[in-house]
Amino acid sequence: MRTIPARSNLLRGAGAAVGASCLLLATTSCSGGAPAAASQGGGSFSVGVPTSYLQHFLPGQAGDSGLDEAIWTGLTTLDQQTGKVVNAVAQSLQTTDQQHWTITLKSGWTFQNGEPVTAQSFADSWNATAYGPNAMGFNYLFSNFQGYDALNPAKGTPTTNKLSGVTVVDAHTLKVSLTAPLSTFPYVLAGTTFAPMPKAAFTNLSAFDKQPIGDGPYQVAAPGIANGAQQLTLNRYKGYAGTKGNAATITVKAYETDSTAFTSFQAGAVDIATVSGNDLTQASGAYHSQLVTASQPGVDYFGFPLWDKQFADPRVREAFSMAIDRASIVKALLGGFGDPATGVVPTSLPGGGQADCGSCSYNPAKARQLLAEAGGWSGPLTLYTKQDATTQTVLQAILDQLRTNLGITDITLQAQSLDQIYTNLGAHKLDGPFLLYTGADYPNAYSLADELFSADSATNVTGYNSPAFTNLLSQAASAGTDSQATSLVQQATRTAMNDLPLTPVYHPVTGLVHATRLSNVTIDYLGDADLAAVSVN
Amino acid sequence: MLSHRGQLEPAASSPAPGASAAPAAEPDPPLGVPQRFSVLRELLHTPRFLLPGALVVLLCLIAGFPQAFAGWFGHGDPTVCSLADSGLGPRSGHPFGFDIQGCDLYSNVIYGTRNSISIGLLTTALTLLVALVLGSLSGYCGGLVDGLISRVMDVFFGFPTLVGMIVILEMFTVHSVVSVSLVLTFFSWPILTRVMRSSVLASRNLDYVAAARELGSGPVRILVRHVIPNSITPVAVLASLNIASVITAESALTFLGVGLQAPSISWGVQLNTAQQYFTTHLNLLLFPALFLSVTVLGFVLLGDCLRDAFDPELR
Amino acid sequence: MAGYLLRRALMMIPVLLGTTLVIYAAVYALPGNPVQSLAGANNVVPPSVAHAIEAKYHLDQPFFVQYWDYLSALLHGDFGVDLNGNSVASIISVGWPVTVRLALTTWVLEGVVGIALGLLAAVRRGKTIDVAILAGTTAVLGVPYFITAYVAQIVLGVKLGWLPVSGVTAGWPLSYIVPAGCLALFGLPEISRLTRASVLDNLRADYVDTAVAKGLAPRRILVRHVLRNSLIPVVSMLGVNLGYLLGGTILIEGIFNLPGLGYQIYHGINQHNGPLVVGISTLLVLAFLLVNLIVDVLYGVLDPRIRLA
Repeated sequence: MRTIPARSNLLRGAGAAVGASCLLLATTSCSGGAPAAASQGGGSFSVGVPTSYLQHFLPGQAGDSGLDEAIWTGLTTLDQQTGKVVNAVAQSLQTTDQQHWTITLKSGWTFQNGEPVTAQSFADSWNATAYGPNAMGFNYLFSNFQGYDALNPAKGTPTTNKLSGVTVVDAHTLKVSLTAPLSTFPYVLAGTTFAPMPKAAFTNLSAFDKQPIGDGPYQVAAPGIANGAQQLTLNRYKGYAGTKGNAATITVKAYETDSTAFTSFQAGAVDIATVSGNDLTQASGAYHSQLVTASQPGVDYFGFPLWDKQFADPRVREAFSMAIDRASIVKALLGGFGDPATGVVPTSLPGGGQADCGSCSYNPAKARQLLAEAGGWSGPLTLYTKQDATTQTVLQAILDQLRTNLGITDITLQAQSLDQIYTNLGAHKLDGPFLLYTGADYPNAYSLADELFSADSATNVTGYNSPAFTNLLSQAASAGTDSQATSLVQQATRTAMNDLPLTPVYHPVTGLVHATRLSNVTIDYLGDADLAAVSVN
Repeated sequence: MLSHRGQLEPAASSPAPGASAAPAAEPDPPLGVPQRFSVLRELLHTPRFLLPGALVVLLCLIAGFPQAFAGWFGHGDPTVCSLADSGLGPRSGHPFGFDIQGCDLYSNVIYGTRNSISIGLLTTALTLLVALVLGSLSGYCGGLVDGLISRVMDVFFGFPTLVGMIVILEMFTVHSVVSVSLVLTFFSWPILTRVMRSSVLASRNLDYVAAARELGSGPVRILVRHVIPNSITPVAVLASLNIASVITAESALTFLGVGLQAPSISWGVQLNTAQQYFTTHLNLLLFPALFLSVTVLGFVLLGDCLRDAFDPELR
Repeated sequence: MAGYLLRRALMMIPVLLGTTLVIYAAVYALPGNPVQSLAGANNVVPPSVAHAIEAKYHLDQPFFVQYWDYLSALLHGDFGVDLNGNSVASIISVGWPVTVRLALTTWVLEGVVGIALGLLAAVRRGKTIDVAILAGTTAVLGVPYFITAYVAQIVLGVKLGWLPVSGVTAGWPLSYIVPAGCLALFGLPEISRLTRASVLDNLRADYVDTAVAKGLAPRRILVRHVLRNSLIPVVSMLGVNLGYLLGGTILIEGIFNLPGLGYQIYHGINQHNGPLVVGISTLLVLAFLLVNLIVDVLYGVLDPRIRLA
C-alpha cells in the first residue's frame, strides 16, 4: 500500500514548474489585481499544520518541521530523493578524525533582511541556543559540543556565553570541536536547530520568535505569529541563493488535529492536509490520485521496563513479542498504512531495513511455551502509551492479543500525556511495557539506533545499557566512510536486538492530500510537505 | 450541562442564583405523605408512566446482569476479540456487527450499559444525599449556616462546569466509575440542594412543624421526622431527570477523553473510538448512540411523568 | 433597586475569588511536568535550562506566592503571559468575539425556535402538531449534541457542501450556522417544553377568562397578556442558559475548529497552561455572574409581583 511518490529531479522539475506557472499566470492574470507580495508568477496555496508549529520560530525553540525548513536553510540539507546529506550554505565540511570539523561557507547567501550569512551568524545562533539561561527547549542538541558544560552549569549562572568548541576563523570559515567523534555530524547540521541567526535577532529575541528573519526560500510576513491567530502568510524570498520556492505566497493554517485539517480539506478550505489514522484509508478511497504517502523514518515499538524484575528474564520479553500479531494490527487498525516490523530500523532510513528482530514473527504457541518456561506470569499487568487515538487503539489490540495468546487475564491499559509518560519512565515509575513512537532525528540508521539504545539518550526509556552496543556505536561514529559506518551501525543494532529491550511493532506510513491544482507535492523527511517544491498549476 | 434540566415549574423555583433571599413566588404547600402514595398508585395505571418505567427497569436489569442479556445471540463475551473480524457489519450471531478490535459489538454495548447507568445512579444517589443534608440545614437553620452554604453554591453556579470537570478529572491518572461519579457529583450538587432548600423553606412554617416545635421536639428530630419527608418530593422527582443528564455528561466527558477510558466498557468509550472510524464503519457510531439516546430518553420521560404527577396545579 | 444591585455586585467578589482559587489550585495540582511541557515533551532538559524556565515563569515559588502574584496582576487587569510566551489578554481578545458570536447565535436560535415551538404546541394542545413537537423535542434530548455535530459536519459540510464546517473564514453568519444549530439542540427542548407548560398554565388563569368575557380577540389575549406572563420563567431559563453556553462551547469549537475561548481553554488544559486556563475561566465566571444579574433585573422588570427584597 505504500506509494513511493514519483519525483522528478528537484532542480529541473522546480525550474520547469516555475516557468510553466509564470506563463500561465501571464496569460490569465488581470493586471493590477495581483497581490503586492507575489512577484513574477507562482500562485499561492494553503497548507494545514499542527498548532504546535505556530508557537515558536527561534531555531532553538522551534524544533524542525516542514514549515521551519521553508524559513531556514542551514549548513547542509537533505536531498529528498537520495536521502543523503548535501551542502547548502556550506561549501565544504572537512575532518580527519570526525571530531574536529572545519566548515567553509559559500558566499552570496543572505538573510531575508539583506544581511549576509556568515560564520558569525551560525556561531551567534548556536551560542544563543546552547546558553542555559536562554531557556531554549532544544539546548540539549548541543550537548556534544565542546564547551557546552560551561554554558550549562548545574547551579548558578554560566561564566561565559560562548561555546569553546565553536571558533569563527573568518567570515566564511568556522571550526567546530565535538566532545567525541560523530561521523554523521553533517546530517545533524541539516536540522533547523542549527540554522544561523542575523544580528537583528538579538535586539529582541521574543519578537524574533514570533516573526523571524530567516535565510530560507520563504519569509514570514508581518505580523508573524499573532496571539491566538490561526494562520500566517509566507512570501517567497527573491534573494534566496538556493533553489527558489515555486509558489509566490503560502498561507499556513493551524489545526488542532489532523482530522480537523482533513475535514477542512474536504470542504475545500485548505489545499494540503496531513492525513493520519483512519483518514488515510478514507483518503485513499476518495482522493486516490491526490494522496501522497511515505514511510515515516521511525518505529512504533513496545518497550520493556528493564528495571522491573518481572521482565528480567529474556524469555518473558520474547514471549510478549511473539504474541503480537503485527500483520493483523496493520491491516485492521491502520488500513494497511504501515509496515509490520521485522527489524527496528525501517527501510526508509539509509542503513536500515535489516531483519534484526528474531521474535517479531507471530507465533502464539511458542510464545505460550516460552512464558511457561520462564515461570509464567503472575499478578496484574498494565500497558502504557501516550494519549493519541491511533496508538491507544493499537495498544488495545495488543492487550487483547496478550490476553488471548498468553492467558494473562488481569490486564489493563493506561494512556498518559507525553510529558508525564517520559517523566515517569525516566524515574522508573512504570511497571509495565509501553507503546511509543521514536523518529530518527536525521535520516540515518545511526540516529535511530543512538536514540533507542544509547545509555545516555533521552529517548532510551527502557533503561538499556550495553557496553557492547556502546562500543560498536562509537566505532561507527569514528568511521571514515559511509559504508563502514553503516555496517557498524547494523552490527550494533543486531547486538541490541538480541537483548530485546524493546520489540518493534510497525513502521508507520504518513500521508498528505493535496488539491488537484497543486503538483509536485512531496513528503519531506519530517512527514511534512516540502513547501518550496510545491507548484501551483 | 447539569443545569436547568432539574428546574421545576416556574412557580416553585427561584429564578436565578443569587436571588436566594426572596423566593420568587410562594411555592405551593408540599404534598403530604399519604397523598404521595395515592399519586404513585394512580400513576401505575397510566401508559405514560408504565412505558418509560418499564424501559428504565429493563435497562437497570441489563446493567445489573449483563451476562444474562449479552449471550442472546451466542457470543456473550465482550472480551473475545479477533482482529480478523475488525469492523465487520451485522450478520448472524452478531446483530450489531463487530467493533474495530474485532469484538462483538452487541455484547459490548450491553456491557456498556452497566458502567453508564452505574455512574448515573451513583452520582444521583450521592447528589441526593448531599442535597438532603445541606439543603435541609440551609433551609431550616437559616442565618449564618444558610448564608455560608448559599455562598458556596454561588461559587459553584458561577463555575464553568465543563471546564471544571475537565480540569479536576485530569488530576486523576486513572478514571474509574467512582472517580468520575465523584467529580460529577461535585458539580451537580448545587442545583438539587437549591431545590431542597426552597422546599424546606416552604415547609418550615407549616402548622404541624410549628406544633412540633412547641411540643419541645429537638431540631434534629423535627428535621428528620417532619421537615424532610415533606420537602423531599420535588427533589426526588428530579432524580430521574438528574440521572439522564449525568449519563449525557459522562458520555461527553469520555468523548473528550477525560471520562472513563479503555479498557472500561462504556458507551462514551465506544463513541470516542467511533470518532476515528465512523465514516467507514457506521455501526460503530450508530448502536452505542442509539442505546445512549434511548436510555436518556427513558429516564427523561419517567422524570417528566413524575414531575407532572406531583405538580399540584396540573392535578 | 440600587441597593440590590450593589449587594449583588459585592457578592460577586467572593465568588470570583473562590472560583479563581479553585481553578488555579486544580491546574497547579495537575500531574505532569510544566517545565518538561514548556521545553518540549521529548526534549532533554538539563538543570540549567530547567532553572531558567522555572525562573522565567515563576514556577519555583510556593503555591500561594504564585497565586498571590497572579491575583494582584489580575486586579490591575494584567492577565499575564501564558506558558508559551503569548499574552493571555490578546488570546482572549481574539477568541472572545468568536465565542460570543457562537453563544449569541445559539441563544437566539434556541430562544426563538424554542418559544415558537412551545407556543405552537400549547395553543394546539392535544392535536397532532403538539404531539409531534413533543416527540421531536424529546427525541432530540436523548441524542448527544456532539454526535449530531459530527454527523451534521459530514452531511451538511462535506457531502452536500452547503455550509462551511471548519474555521471562521466565512464570517458571520455562515461559519456559525451549523455549530450554533447543533449547540442549540442542547437547550432547545427545555425551552420549548417550558414555554408550553408556562403558556398552558397561563391559559387557565383567571385573567384570561376575564379577557375572554370582555370580548377581546383571542390573538390579542395571547400576545398581549398570556405571552408576556408566560415568558417570565422562560427568560429566566434563557438567561441561565447563556451563562452555561459561554462555558460549554468547548466541544463544538473543537469539532468545528472555531478559534474561540472554549477551544483555547481545552488546548490550555491539555498543555497544563495554567495562566491561560485561569485567565479565561475568570472571564467566563465574570460574564456568567453579570448575565445572571441582568436576568434577575429583567425578571423584576417583567414581573411587578416580584419586588426584589
